[in-house]
Amino acid sequence: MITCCTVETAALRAGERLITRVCRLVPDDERDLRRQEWVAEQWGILDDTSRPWLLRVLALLVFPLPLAWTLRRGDWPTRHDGSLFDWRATANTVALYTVTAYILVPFITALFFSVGFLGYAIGAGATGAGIGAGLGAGVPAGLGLGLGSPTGAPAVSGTLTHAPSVAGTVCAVAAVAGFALFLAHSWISQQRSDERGVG
Amino acid sequence: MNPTPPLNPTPQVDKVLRVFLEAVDEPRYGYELMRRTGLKSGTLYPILARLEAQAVVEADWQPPDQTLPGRPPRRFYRLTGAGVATARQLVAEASQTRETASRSRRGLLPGVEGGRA
Repeated sequence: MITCCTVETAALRAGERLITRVCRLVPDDERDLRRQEWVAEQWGILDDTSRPWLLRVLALLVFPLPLAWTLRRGDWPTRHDGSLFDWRATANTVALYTVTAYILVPFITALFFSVGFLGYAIGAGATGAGIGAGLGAGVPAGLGLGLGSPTGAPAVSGTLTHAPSVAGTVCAVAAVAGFALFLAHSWISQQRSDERGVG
Repeated sequence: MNPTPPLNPTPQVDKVLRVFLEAVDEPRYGYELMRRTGLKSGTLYPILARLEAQAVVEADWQPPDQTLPGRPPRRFYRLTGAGVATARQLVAEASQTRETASRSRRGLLPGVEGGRA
């Protein structure tokens, strides 16, 4: 049985991991100090009984996010010459992370497209329309256009065919939505970088 | 070492300093300040770091509450002796800036027509 304590412990662990990641962006000489401080604050958030339990857990998890945003923008005030190299090295780590995301997101999107495509192909194929018609139905699904029943095949489908069609549609829509979000995020990041005169 | 950027009397700095000035000797925690000022962690902690670097506030660790075992020590902030005067000055500047902006919006400043160009 999942108790409040279990959820709180899990939230604290997740929060601590988030803070550890966020603290990679803090200058070296302050990292441990800030990590201890913010982890202690998370305990404080959880102990604040003036708020409902669920809100406290949510606040605990949300707490590091604005810090991450600020630190990624490089707005932390105390940067020293001595830690400038490490600061840049940390920034490079973030850049590497971003590059990895740029490779992973198209890969995951392609994977979702494939699943969407196959979902429709199998669903349409099983109605007796044949593999050719199945593939034909799969294409619009793979492109994320296959909402509902884009071809006749799924329209006459029974349970057997409908389930993979829905799965295919969901995957395709998720892929399109995910990729759109990724593009939007990239664009906004680029705009912000341009505003700061970075990159 | 790079000098820390000077403190500007922004509305956010003003909010934080007002909470400190309510009870000068009272130690304040980050989360408490977040709740009192409505500022997010990403805004508050850089302000606190700047205030600390300018010696307006000093920070120290407080042992965990004995009634709540297993808690890590928390870091609290308190105005320094010199910081009280600086804080009052910054709050006064912030009020003045706000007042000037408000008057210029209403077109009450000499030479400003309607508050807009």
